[in-house]
Amino acid sequence: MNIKCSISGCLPRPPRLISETRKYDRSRINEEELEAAYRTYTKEVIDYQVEQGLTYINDGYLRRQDLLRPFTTKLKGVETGQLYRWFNNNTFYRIPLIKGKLEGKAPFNETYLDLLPKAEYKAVLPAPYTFVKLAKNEYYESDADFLQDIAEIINAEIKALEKQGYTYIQLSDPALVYHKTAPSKNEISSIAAAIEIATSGVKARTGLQTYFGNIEPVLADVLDWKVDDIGIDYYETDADAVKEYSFKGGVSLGLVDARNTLKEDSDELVSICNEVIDASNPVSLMVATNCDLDFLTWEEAQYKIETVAKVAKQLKEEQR
Amino acid sequence: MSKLFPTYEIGSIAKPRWRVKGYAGRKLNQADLDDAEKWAKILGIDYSKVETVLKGDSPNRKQEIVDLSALYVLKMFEKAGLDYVYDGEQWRVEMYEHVIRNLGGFKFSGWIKSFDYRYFKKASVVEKVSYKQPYYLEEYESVKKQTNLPLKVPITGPYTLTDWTYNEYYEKKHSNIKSFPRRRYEARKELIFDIVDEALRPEFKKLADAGVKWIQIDEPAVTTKETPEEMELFVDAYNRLTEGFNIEFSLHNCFSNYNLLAQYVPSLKKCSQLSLEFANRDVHEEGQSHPGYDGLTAFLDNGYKGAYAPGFLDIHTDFIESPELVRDRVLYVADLVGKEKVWVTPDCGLRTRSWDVAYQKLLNLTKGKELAKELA
Repeated sequence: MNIKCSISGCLPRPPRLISETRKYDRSRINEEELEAAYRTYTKEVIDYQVEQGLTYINDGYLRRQDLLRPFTTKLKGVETGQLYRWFNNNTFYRIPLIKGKLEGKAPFNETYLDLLPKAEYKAVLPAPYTFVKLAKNEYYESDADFLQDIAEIINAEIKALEKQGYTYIQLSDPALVYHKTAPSKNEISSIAAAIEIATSGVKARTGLQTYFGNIEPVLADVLDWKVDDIGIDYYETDADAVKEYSFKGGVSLGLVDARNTLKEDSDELVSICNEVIDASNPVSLMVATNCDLDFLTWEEAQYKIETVAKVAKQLKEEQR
Repeated sequence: MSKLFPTYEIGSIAKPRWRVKGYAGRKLNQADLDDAEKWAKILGIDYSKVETVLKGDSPNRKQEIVDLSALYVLKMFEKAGLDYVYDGEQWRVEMYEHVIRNLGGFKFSGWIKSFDYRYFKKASVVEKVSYKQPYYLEEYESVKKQTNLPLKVPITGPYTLTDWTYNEYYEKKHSNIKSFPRRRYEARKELIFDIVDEALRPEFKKLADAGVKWIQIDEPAVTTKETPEEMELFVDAYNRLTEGFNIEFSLHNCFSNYNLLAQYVPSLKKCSQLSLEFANRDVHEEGQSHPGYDGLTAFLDNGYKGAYAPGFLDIHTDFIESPELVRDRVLYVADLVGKEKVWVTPDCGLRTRSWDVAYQKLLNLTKGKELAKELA
């Protein structure tokens, strides 16, 4: 069994970086000084992941204002709209207003590539369906057309990131499982087709990370989609329900709760992993957080990263 | 005072710089003092007494400054012609922190991103919730002495306090439940009822004994989770909180999913009115058409029997609603819900507006309500 571990998304800004962003917001420092702060703290969050021994490292996406923002601000055909609630959280994103045909020059997700060590690194992008559900479409005649265009843009973006050296691409798909945005049965085939377009010709490992909702209603379908790993939020999905399914590929288990400060019991998490391995027989198992870690402070996020690494280590030892 | 179209402000008003700096022990500059003097004149407050406090070094200076800013807001509301008043929450840091910092069982950590470069503070509950000291009572006692108008006391509701808290203690307590979603739900349920029983009801008892007649329960978070299970939790906590008190209760909620909320408010046993946010959803033009308020029909259709304060001032813009616009909106709503059921308020607290804007908006609110009364 191939055991891995990583964080399912971005990291929180460390406190001193928060102070710098506030200074910038109040025009007390300039863009250059802000950028210097971003570089300093990006290095810090990268180093911490390396130190803890995560399989895939990301740059923390400290600068990214929300998951959709690079798309909202860099693509043609999109305008930045008002703040909307980020699913069922007390945090907000700016809605992409789709005004014309989507076009973009990949890569438009800025990353701190030069700060990443010689390791496997992971890029985090929105899945096509989540982008479509969270945007306000004022241009495309149907969601299916919109889905197809955004899937092509994501595909070009993935390929560009792959060229830069990314070996793992996470497509974040909370809308697929969140109870208010989950698709109806007849939407499933076009979502599957969009995933196929998005990952077509990609050599990097891909993962569809679902969170904020129960994956079970769509799990039987998702198992056939063109992604290597399927990510599950264990704080929304009942562990016993997952055991009913066999995995053809890998699984990414969102076992460390990024929305609560409680320190998990690593033994309990290891035993859930073992149950999944026994019942569902995945090709590989990624120990992960259930979602982005920016619902916590950097200090709290550090012990969550530590827990992810600890569970993976313990599991590897037991699997030997 | 005629009972038609009574007015009040929802909650918080921006803290003046002299209040913030003075409370933090920082030195006030001339601009701060000039601002205090300007508003003293507008509101009919004796500035010489204010100046003595602001320039003085009394050991009670902090509290004296809080009392003063509460007085300024009370006078602003009185001068604007509101029927029910309070202090614009000048006594409170913020609606969540104010309560949580005064309770036992919670621990605050650092800043969490809300959006872009805005952050907020969130606490973890690490022990069983406990009552330490009064946290709304002294404010009420003080405000009561400063005005003769009837008071409406805004408080933060249990659902919001629960939703904005990391739940460590109760999740740990329920670690015998194997399913994480179930464990989290049971922990959340126990936390919310402990907040009701251990934190809020003891304070309500004190407020009732002190003579509070009307409490507005603020629940901005109520439709955040959007599931029936969570909405029922809100209803159960609300009913448990208000049971047995000889106080009038109302609910305030804004920037939420009203179609969902409307299904549950008829189950609130003691909720005489809803204060909501519809001005934000309406057109700015005067006239007979105000479709922004049509969402109120969801509440009527679901059978809510109480009164409505649907919000007639948008709190997120400096656009000053004219008295005529307020009038037309009030009349439109009166047609929808019945004129005896209409209360006239802003969408929410005017905290994000300058005092100049807030005051002008409130003046037009009361002028507009008078115009509406003539035509109703």
